[in-house]
Amino acid sequence: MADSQGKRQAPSYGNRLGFWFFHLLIKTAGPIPAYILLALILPYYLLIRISAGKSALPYLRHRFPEYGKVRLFFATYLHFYRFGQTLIDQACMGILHKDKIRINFPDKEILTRLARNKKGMVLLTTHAGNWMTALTAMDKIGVRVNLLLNLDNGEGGHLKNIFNERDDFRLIPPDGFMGGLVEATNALNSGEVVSIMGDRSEGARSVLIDFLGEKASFPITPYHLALATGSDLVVLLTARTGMLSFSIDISSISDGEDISDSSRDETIKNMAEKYVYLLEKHLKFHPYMWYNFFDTWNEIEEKSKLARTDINSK
Amino acid sequence: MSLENELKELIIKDLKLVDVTPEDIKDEDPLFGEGLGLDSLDAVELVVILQKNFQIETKDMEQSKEVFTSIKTLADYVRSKTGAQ
Repeated sequence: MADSQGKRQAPSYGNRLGFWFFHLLIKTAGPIPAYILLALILPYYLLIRISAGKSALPYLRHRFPEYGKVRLFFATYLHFYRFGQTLIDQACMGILHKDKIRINFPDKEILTRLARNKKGMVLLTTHAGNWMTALTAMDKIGVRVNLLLNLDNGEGGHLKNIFNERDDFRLIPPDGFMGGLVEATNALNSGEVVSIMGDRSEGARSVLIDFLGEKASFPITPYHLALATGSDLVVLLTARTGMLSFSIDISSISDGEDISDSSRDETIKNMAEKYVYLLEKHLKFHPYMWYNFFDTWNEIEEKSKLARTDINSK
Repeated sequence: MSLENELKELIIKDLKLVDVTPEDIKDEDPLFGEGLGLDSLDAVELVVILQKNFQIETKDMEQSKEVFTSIKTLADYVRSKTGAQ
């Protein structure tokens, strides 16, 4: 799917009426009836909106290469059910407020300590688990957290107000000047945190990394930002662990030191490989919690041409 | 060396532009898209170049759009902030 500028868009998984109805249900009866309704309407949805269901197949085929058509259909159902639960939990965050959500974030102190070094931090996030809700847990770490995110849709709309109301956060629209990267660079240079997605290229320069058995395309923007500004780079992965409950794991993969100008491409590739390793490890334990919905493996031809230097041949 | 040439050399070096010399870059050519063909990742480097070499920040995005138009607008901005010639 592409917009008027030819840029691909994420598939939409609901309409205004649907979001409104789920919102009403959560507000009046809590999350459980919403989960049940989700389970009931999902088969109909997957059969009617075939293109939506198909968007999960590239990932599921790579994650479960041994699966035939029938098992893949059930895997797709489970995948979308987990995704729907995540969206319901996310809506609960906005509707029922944060104290209803249980967040297990054992390393928040480590993240806080790193952030307070004031050297800047790229927080590399992923469309995994309750990633959007998890970002709300990045409050009170001592520096402002800038979110390079578009929340102008039904799925993220509930959280937009939360972020806008708090001084700890600032939203940087990715459709702004230079994709928001000038603002992101300024923020890092001021010692702040910038959260950016690491698993969807969407037209950006990218690097090819082995992912679930085949070369796939990953954006180099997060690594480039970290190296150019000398910022730390920390990977954040989340998993839904139960009703209104999730965990957050962080892993530091770079302190922003560029080993030398001539090998920056190699450094970027190494950083991307570390990220993909962590992502694969995460998906081993949480196979139905990656919500990218782009064919990351099929973007190779298009994206590899976008790299100015021949990073993909190294 | 003129400020324009200094900026051109910094851009060629820090953005690792291959087979481009300062003479190839016209002062009024667009830096992004057509012209020099830079992209948003190069804008990151431009922000860093301005900060590291001239201690200039580009916080105002509306102004940044103007500043990052060409070598001439960049140089004019640096002059306005530092008094450089």
